Amino acid sequence: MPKIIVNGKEYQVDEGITLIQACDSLGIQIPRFCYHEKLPSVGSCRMCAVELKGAPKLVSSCTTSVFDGMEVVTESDKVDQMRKTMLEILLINHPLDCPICDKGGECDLQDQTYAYGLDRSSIDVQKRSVEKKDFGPLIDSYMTRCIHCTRCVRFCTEIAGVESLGAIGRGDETEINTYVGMAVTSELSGNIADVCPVGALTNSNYAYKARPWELISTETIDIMDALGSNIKVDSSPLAVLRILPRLNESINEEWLADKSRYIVDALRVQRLDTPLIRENGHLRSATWEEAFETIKNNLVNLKGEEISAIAGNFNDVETMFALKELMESLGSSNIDCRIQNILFNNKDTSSYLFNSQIASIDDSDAILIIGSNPRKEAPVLNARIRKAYLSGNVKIALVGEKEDLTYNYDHLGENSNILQDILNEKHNFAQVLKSAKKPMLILGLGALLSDNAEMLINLCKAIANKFGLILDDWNGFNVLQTSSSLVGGLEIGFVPKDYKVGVHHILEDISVNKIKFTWLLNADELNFNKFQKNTFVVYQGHHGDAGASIANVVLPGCLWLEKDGTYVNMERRVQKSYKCVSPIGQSKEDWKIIRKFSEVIDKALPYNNLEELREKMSQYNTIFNNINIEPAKFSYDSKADTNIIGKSLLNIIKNYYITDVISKNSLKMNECTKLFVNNKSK
Amino acid sequence: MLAEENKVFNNLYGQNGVTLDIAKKLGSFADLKGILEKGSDFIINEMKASNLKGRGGAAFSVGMKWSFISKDDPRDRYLVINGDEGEPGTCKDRELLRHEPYKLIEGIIIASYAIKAKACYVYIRGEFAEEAKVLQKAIDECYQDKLLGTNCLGLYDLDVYIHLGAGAYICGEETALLESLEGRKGFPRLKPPFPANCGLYSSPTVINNVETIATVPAILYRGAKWYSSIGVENSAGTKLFCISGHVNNPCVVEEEMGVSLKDMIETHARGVIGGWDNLLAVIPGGASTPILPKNFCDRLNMDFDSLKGAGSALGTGAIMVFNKNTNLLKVIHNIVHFYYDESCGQCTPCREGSGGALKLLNKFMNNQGTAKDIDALDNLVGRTLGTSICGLNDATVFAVKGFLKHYKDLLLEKSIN
Amino acid sequence: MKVNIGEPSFSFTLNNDKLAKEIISKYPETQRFSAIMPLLTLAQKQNGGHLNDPIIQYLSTYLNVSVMSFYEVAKFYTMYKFKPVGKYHISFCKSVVCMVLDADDLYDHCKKITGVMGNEVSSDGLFSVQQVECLGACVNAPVMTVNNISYENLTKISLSKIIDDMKKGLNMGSMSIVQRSAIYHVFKQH
Repeated sequence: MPKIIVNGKEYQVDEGITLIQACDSLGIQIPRFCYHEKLPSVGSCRMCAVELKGAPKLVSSCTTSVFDGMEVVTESDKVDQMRKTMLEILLINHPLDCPICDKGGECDLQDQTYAYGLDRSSIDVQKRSVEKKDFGPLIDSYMTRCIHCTRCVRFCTEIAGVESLGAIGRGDETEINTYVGMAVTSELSGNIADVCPVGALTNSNYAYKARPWELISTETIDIMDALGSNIKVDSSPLAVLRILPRLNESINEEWLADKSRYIVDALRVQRLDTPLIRENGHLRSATWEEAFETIKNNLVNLKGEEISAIAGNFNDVETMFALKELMESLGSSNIDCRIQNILFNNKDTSSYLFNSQIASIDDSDAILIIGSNPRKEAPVLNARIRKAYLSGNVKIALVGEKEDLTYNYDHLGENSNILQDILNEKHNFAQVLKSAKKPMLILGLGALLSDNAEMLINLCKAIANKFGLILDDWNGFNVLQTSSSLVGGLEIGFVPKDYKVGVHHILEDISVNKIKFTWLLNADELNFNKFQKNTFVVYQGHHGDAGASIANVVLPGCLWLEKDGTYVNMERRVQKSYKCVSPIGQSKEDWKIIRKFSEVIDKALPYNNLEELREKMSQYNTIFNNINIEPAKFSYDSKADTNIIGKSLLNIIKNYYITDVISKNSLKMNECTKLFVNNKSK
Repeated sequence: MLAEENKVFNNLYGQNGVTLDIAKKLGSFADLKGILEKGSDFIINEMKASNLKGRGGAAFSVGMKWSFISKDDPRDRYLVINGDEGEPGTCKDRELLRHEPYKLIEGIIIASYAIKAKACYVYIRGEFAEEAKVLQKAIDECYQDKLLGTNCLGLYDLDVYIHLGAGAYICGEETALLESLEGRKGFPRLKPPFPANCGLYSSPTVINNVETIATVPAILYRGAKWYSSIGVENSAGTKLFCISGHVNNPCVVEEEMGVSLKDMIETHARGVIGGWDNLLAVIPGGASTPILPKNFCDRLNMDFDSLKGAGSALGTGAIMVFNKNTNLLKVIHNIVHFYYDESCGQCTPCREGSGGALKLLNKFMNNQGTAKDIDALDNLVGRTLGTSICGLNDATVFAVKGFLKHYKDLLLEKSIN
Repeated sequence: MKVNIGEPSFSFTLNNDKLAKEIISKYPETQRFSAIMPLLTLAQKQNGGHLNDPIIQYLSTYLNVSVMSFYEVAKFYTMYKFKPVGKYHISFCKSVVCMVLDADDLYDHCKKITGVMGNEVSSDGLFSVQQVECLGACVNAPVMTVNNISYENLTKISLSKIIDDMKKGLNMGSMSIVQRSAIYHVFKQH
């Protein structure tokens, strides 16, 4: 480890890092504009320049690597002068329209200008004005404010993998722009507003909404995909105003997918805010008591097997656990959280998880993607794969639909039979897997829906077993889940006793009137044609959609941002989400609804608060005690049937922007759909 | 003044015609094989001993530059010739490309052999399309004559390619030139790493100016001793000077280093228009070198040290002569405008600073400048010196500083309070 | 606002296709980016002196390099034009030596006799005129280039004659420096 001397003090720092990284790790502040730790350094803003002993001029610390015996001074008159000079000349052209700028209060230029005591440039000349650019529905641009750091360009080309943005022109007339009016076509485009050090690129959802110092921030997690990205939610006392990514190197680094960021405008649209009861074919608002009474009346005479419950997306584990216990108390085991109808075996934990964990993508040297488009199913995870790709040490192949994933891969074909060939070493990718040190496969839900899911899982397990995907410290068998609540549901056993019985069996039973009562927990993506007129349906959820429209009683629940809850991501990472804003109308926290109803029917569930409920959850499954991931043991049965049908593997998500009841109600997501999916210009 | 027999470029004006045969008659390729057979170390040592400094403006020892290429690096090596001449006042490489292409090619062969390069790219500015054609014809002739290609003279393989620029002065900066050659915007690279280690296509690369390389054959034919004996201390050899502006016969001329400026103007350029007393000022080494008023020019020698002593620099040897009819405010405005136009926009000081300086000068051009603006200009150029990635911003700074040093009064006269 | 770029409506002529392949072969196989500038130059020439979006898209596919790489380069270098130019595209040097030798007057004169208004092409389609930074021919100032062929030591008289001959349709591009010098006295006799 090299020893360096900074401002006269000696430190030991990591090898191979840059000076600015070293200083950051030592808590020595260096101002910067163009440098961003996740992006390649360009050294163009000159703000991070420091004195290096032996160098004739100041050196930019973001492009200078540390070496043993290096002596630097980060605070001196010379350095100070340099920083002041750079700020002063940036202010020649920067409009200083801070009072009307959304970045005001959290702007790097503003902060640093403030720190160095300048509020204008002594060079009093006409400022440059730059035409406003249209970068698509998600990003607002005020390019007059641009200081040409090119972070946005580098983000697009390096991280997002789309060459949408460029620094066009030269010199003073350089402008950040897209190619002839094209939109920024990335599922990660919102991040360019985050990396922008000034107010040139801003979040279009948050335009003129608030000042950062007025915001109430809550650190929580995202549930729009199964990644569990860490987020910071900024809200007013009444409403969520914006969602920003929060650093978590193991999951999302510091990026956030567009859907997770921009559904803010859907959080208060089409909401269920009062209990509803169907009378004469129409839903009318009712009190909680009325609603509960109605449900109770329709339950009384039913036997356990005539009752069912289906959990859809967005459910916290607590609520599912409470509903499961309620159903058990009613003698029903007709419960399922596998709404996509893929019959994961909840006893075989590793068969439905992203076992290698997300961050391990960085270390993998061979990735086989099967029936998945990670770019749409988990954009942030896809950026990881791209990062691995850029490192040049990984071979990537895909079986399934050929789509632009932002990196090059070998397209082995669409048919699942290729996997048989790989297993039987008739395909040369077998050799790639064999010779790799840390190979992984990523099995998409699209694949499992296209072919026989059980056989396909067995087949992939056989491949994993045969080609060294399973090592002592490595499990390269990965399933890419898309729903934030499925893994949690499986972990608490929200499935029928026999895992081979699935939602479609419950629906069959409903259609022949064997099941007469069903409780839908945020379950909207079902074939409701199966429902009979006399099936009694309770819908508990937050958005009025397909489920609510056929319900006999609607119980208004909360969005995840309006309650505390627990989620388990695709890696089996247990994370808590926290209440950011109050529930709207008469809606209630979901587990409380179930707890209250259990009281109404005299089967009170044995917990009076969330802590007691969580205690019970932990007793049921110890993973809820942990903050770390408890790895699942890979189980492999050499006799398991791998006899797949052999089908073209189709991806599960066609339109990234609208996948669920929340995004469906987002104006921004609809605009994106129009533009990016249907190719219709404004 | 330089004796006729000591001239390196005996066909500078194309007076003898431009073909390979003629070039051979004039001495080119006379004993190329003999020189190469002396080996790479000999060539590099001879270049070091000759004290030839780069003629592109930065004046770095040529022999030293070549010796930086590691001998046992397994990567491909490249020689890149910088023919992106564009500094206002400078037009010497154009004459060489037009009339002395064979000396350039012979120099390329020797230099490539010395650094073991198998490919050489000659980067010529896009505006020199005609000159590029002449060079291409010469290259084609040399291929036919087996001076280029594979297994030439039983000693070397070498391909020479011309790569045309497309209008960007910044590509004259060697690392910007490499970026341009690699198909990107001409953004100068941060150094280190230096091209000797990580140049074209991340390979060891030597980049030399056209004039520098074209001088190489003469040095090796006639010896380092001969070459270093010409000129004055610290400034060895001969140099092409471009005398332009208010003179009776603007010309490119080869002279020895340390020659008297006045003699050169009087002899080669046949005097200042209106006579020596009508001289106002001279910019001695291209637009970036500080301007010198007449009183400095009366006894000024053209070598590195003398010009430094006078507060200017030799630069590219482009002497721009201004007589008393010249509006020097327009001159400095024009020069700053040039650097403003040609700034690549990569780093802050140059992108914003050159614009700031230009807009301040605009104010004086429009009779709106104030005394405060003069201070701001002084302050701006003073503080941005040495802060940018490459030297382009420093060029602006030197030009403006030189102007302010001698002609601040011109701005004061123009200011409104 | 678009998300897809259409099919390019430009393609190289057979001859230029051959030239383009030759250009690409000048650079190491892994370094096809190097061909970006020469290909732009070639395409601009084929297209009568300016580039447009279909060309950029065509070249991007031709070289298998992103559209943005081509676009950034094309917008950086001043010799790539995105607006139509005249049959004779005249560039006047405006840098310091030409300026002190009254190049501005010649530029104004040239615009007058060619009938070029602003940055447009003259109504007969023959001429477009612009001022550019140093053309690197300072000892022969004032200087201009017409379609990259230079005319030096200009005076109003020689300029008028050059423009006249262009109007008459003389093929100046095929003349050697010596021929042009004999007609217009625009090259120095040493």
